[in-house]
Amino acid sequence: MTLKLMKYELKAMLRTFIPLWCVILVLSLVNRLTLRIDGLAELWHGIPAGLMLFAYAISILAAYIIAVVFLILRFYHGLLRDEGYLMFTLPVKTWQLICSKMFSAVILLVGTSLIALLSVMVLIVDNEVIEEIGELIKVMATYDTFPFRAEFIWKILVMAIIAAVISPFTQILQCYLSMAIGQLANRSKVGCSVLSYIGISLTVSFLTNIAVTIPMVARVQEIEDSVTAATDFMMTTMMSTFGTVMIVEILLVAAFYVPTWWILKNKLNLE
Amino acid sequence: MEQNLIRCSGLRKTYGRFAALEHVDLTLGRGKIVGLLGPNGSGKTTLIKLLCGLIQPTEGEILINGQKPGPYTKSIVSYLPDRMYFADWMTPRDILDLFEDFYADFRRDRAEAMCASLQILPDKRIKTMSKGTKEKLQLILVMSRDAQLYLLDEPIAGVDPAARDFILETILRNYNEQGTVLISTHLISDVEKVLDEVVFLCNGTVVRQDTVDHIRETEGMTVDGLFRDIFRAMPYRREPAVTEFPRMEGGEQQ
Amino acid sequence: MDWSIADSRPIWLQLEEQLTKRILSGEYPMGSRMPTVRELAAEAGVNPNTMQRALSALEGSGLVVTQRTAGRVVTEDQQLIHAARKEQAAGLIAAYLQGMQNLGFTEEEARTYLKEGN
Repeated sequence: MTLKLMKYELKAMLRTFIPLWCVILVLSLVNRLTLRIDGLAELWHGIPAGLMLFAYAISILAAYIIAVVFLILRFYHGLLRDEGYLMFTLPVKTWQLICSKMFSAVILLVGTSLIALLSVMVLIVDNEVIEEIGELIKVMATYDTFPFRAEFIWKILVMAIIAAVISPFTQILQCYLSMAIGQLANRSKVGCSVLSYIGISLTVSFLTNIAVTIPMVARVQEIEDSVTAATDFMMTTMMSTFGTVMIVEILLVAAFYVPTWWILKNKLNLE
Repeated sequence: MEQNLIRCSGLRKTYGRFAALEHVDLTLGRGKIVGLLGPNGSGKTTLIKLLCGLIQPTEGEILINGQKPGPYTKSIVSYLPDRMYFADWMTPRDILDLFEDFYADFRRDRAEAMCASLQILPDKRIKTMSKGTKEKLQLILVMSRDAQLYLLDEPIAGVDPAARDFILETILRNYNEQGTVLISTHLISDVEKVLDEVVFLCNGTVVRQDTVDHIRETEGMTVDGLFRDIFRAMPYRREPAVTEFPRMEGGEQQ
Repeated sequence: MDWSIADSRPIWLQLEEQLTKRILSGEYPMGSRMPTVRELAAEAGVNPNTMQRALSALEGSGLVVTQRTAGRVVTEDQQLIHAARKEQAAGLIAAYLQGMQNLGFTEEEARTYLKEGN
């Protein structure tokens, strides 16, 4: 059922986004040509070429902004306004409604990022660039080049990747929770959603700062004890920071999801 | 199979301090068309929203076919809300696909035949349709299911007489005869002859539940007449002016 | 003929009367098959259960009979139809006389009036 719901969700999203993604790719292709073909970039004092590059940058930015606006509107209009009368009377569970929206939104964000990455590659990649990237990887693969111990790097990398994968989910769920809280109000639901978003953000950043700072403060003593191990100290601090961030992200997913689910299940307040 | 399709006991729903429903005990059988009648604000929509699981009761219990509202009851309940509920970028074909995907009891051929008879084109955007056409399309979708319970919230409010006849006839020709149709309305004379049974709601409580013919036999009046009797509000009558300020006249003369 | 549920008597009773009139007038000819309950109900814009009750009443009076193969058909019993016509006629006459009486005519005057045709 979640997949069926996602099918409709993606259909609603992609009918706007596939054209947008195509525009980005076409613009990057056009820019590649203007940059590579001799003389074209200098034509008319470079104004057309400059405009094309500007349009390309704007289209990527616009795609992200529209994606964020879209995932908010899909949730607000799709569940909390008139369309909610249809969605909440389908024979599905509340978690399936939320998850179908969430995964579709993540697909939208990841898709937009991939398209942006692809378009950058279209724009700049040639044989020379590929060679340079290959050499960089070779250098990174030889641990000896690093002045510090390699196992730290890998651990930090894994934790950073996990945090990065979870982060879009927390961002999306924070929007969802704000709207779920906002719809409880009988008047100015949008205003209340914005307020709860700000409130949640402040609370979360306050708590995150505490969670990240405490382990660091606790270790200040160590740096005085052994100045020689400064590199080790830096690495372990980084590790604990990334670890904290990862755990915080995981906790936030639960902290945003559970109340959203509970409110939509028990306190749905359609006009 | 449960003998009663709907059983509500001790049902109460409050919004803040306001009690929309209070002490509702209601049992409805199968194979009937039931009118949920009451003036505006008597709790009709609240009861329907509770039955279709859009909102949760504050107290008490609802059983539909022996089950609390949830995915199972939603699969056997066909709900017509008092507003448009589809995304307007969709086409009739999209929305038919959706119903076919989610409701096992949806009869697509029936819906397509009804759309065709109204000249509703399958690939025309819903956005471009008139309000009347959208309402008809929504009714077609709801009545193309062989549901156990049809919950129709004010299906004939604000429509012209021709559309009203179309709506009532569509309901009569398409509902599943083993199932029950619950129609909420305050326009009783228009629906009276399609009803088996009526439930009168007043200020959130059920004040009477009876069959239409029994009311006519025992009261000697139509259900509409009885409704007017029960809910007659005394218009405010201005008291004849008494000489409250006898001094005023003298004061004005100055 | 249009269906009309005009007064405050039970609906099935009014449907029974109108179905009887349709049979007596030949709109549903003798021996013909009656439309289904659902069809009749939709046509009259009434509840199928109510229409069912009206048809059962007609079966009770014998104007409609249920055959195993053909379903519900109008009776082919001439005498029964004739008797039902006479019964309806008696009702019309009584109503006419009552109406004339209300206008201040005696029964005798009413009868002469009817014969003379003016």
